[in-house]
Amino acid sequence: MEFIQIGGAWAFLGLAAILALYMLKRRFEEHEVPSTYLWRRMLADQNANRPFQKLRKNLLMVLQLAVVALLALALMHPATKGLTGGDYVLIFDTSLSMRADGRMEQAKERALRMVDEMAAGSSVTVITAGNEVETPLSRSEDSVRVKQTISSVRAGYAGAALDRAVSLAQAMAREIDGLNIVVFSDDYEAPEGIRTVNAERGAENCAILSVKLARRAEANEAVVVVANYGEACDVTLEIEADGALWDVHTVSLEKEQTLGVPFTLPDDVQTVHARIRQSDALAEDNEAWGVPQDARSHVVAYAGDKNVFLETAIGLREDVELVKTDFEGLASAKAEMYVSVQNGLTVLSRTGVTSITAGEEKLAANGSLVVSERETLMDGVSVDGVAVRSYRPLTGGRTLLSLNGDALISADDDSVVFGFDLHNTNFPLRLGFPVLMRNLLSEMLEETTLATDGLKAGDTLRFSAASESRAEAVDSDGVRMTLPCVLKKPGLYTLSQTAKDDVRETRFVVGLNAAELDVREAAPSANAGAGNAQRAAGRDYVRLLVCLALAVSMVEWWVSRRGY
Amino acid sequence: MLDDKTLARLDALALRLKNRTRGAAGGARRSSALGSSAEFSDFREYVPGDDVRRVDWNAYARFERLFLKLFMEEQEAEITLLVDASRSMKAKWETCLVCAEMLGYLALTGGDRLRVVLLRGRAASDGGRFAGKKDFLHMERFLEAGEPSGETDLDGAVPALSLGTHGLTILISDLFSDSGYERALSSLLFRKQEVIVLHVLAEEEVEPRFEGAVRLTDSENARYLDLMAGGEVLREYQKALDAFRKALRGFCHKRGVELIELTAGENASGEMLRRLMTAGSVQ
Repeated sequence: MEFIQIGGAWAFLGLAAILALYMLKRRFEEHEVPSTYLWRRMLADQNANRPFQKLRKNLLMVLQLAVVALLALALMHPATKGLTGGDYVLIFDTSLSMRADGRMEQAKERALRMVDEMAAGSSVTVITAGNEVETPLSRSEDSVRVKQTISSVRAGYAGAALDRAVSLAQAMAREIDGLNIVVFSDDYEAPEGIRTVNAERGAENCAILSVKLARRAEANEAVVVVANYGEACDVTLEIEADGALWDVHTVSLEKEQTLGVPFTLPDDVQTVHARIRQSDALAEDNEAWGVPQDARSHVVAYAGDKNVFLETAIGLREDVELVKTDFEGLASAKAEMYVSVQNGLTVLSRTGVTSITAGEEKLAANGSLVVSERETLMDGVSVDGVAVRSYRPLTGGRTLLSLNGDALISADDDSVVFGFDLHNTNFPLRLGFPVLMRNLLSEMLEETTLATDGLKAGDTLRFSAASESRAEAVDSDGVRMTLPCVLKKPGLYTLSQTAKDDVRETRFVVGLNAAELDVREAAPSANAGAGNAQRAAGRDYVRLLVCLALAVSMVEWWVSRRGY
Repeated sequence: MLDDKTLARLDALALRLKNRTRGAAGGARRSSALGSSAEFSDFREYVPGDDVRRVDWNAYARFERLFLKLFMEEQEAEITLLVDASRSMKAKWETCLVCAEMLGYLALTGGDRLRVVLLRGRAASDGGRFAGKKDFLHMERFLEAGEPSGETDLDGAVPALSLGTHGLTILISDLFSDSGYERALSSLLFRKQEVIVLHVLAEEEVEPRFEGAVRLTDSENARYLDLMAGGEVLREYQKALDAFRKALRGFCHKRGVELIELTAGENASGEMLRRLMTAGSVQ
């Protein structure tokens, strides 16, 4: 045991005060009575009947001394160390599997009990390990705050970066002597010296892995992929098409079987929601969404001199629709890229304009072409054997290809300009040209294709958009997130892209990590004696001492009331 | 101390002795001794050995049983007032004086001879004998001049008193004597005295109301006791008082001593008369 507030020992001076009171002449209130005859007889009877009567006077003194001693001890705050007083790091696995079977609640209960057993003055750091590692509380000695933080820990929908969290804690352990690291998880094997508190109990679970939609000529079809992580069972699948119940189907699943269940869908269905009717250990994987995957085409508007090589290179991408127009039409065309070829210059632009200018005079191209290797647009582009007859030097932007210090191909944020006529060069006949065009198209055309079965909760949605466009994702609760963003929950999302005055919305689905759905395995807790942990539970004795002091003072009151 | 109203009330009363008196001088009290007085007193049944001349033949004719006529001779009784004048009586001295004066008045107006003795320790302060209503003031002065002092020692003082045989002795005391009271009362009874005991206690002796740490000093001898007066202690005191009273009552009852328990106060004298009347000692 130790005394946390040793300064409370001053209260023992109260013992001396009480002794002094008893040793000093007591003040009695004087009363003259006609006769003490009866009083003497009374006292004689008392002494005769109660052999310990004489001790009563001393008994009060003893009781009063006991009250003071107990209070003084309480002020000194005695306590025994439990898991040890000191520093703790509590790491919580907040992966999806911790939602199963009340595992997170169990983990929090155990953690709260652990906090109760800690000696006063212990500091606690709370780390949560989901897709990302976060530290909601750092080295706090406020047990109320610690408990509040623990109570607010929630399991997520993704995996758990436990190794990173443990590494963080181990880094802290190098700075802090005697740091106790405890991991609360369901299936984690900690390294030596780290205590784990695992769920210790597995559970069976059925899950919908995905909903795939296919548009066919005869009918639309959905395939719901269901997995059984347990013994053979029957599951009833409910299918909603665009919010209305469409079909119900019961299937029998063998032990550990994964099965695709087909459903016919109505025409023009936009969203499909599949749900398992039965409850099991993990409810979050009992529903999933599916949306049809549309082919997405990029419109490239082309105006100016005809250039077969350029047109061919642009048309190499299947998702590009080349729309030829005149210069008047180019300005008003709604396209993702604008190509203009005139006066020996070729301009490719996202916005239709460019900040790059060309010299008026054509210069003969004598010399070696030099590729700017720092430019990613020129990755894989070789200009060996490429000859250019003449060029107009470019000004502005970044130089991608130069000759004698003059820029022949330049790029800014939204455009790329060729300062030479592609007809007057053999570049289009070289392998470097289609490579360059591929790079240019990848850079300048927006990536909008999203696989419905590709994104999982916890993934980061990144989207490259043109500088003047804006993209945000909206989840099923209407929460808007600016890209890039972490998709925290599974469900149906909407990607909203705004470019100029054009707003385009695309629906996509976020699923769950299949690795978190099999919750049958639960490792036992381990390393209970790790670190400085001792098996004895720590105790704070203040309350006990105060209660004892109260009890003794009540006895003292009762004895004094009886008189002597 | 006694007002006219009280005296007028007492004029209507008289002390009555249960045992017939045998006084030497003539007095207003009726004696059972048969004498030459012509006043018929009462009948009683004839028992073998009685004087057959006293048989009332008219009563025999009527009842066919033998009865004797009894004639009374008027004789005075000797009444002794023993008043405990120890220091412990100071708290109830006024009550004692009132009671003593009332009883003395009854005795004097009843034609009895009255002797008043103040007891202080083993000593007795004899006020002498009084007779007749005219001596009431002398008696009163004697009593009121007495100042309670000294300790109580009834067993030491009373047996030493010279008392005649037969008569009425009224003892007014708190009876709180280390030597006890039994020997004193027994000595009175031995001398054929009819005994009435007025056990007078002060209010604070009947129901003490102390709290906390108290030092109780005995008024007679300055001895003191230190107590923590709490509920338990006061309850024990009550038990001791009840035990004392119970023993006193038992002693008096067994010996035919009339016991009147009084608590000093305004109503004490009235209570005394009422109890004496109930007991038949006053009528």
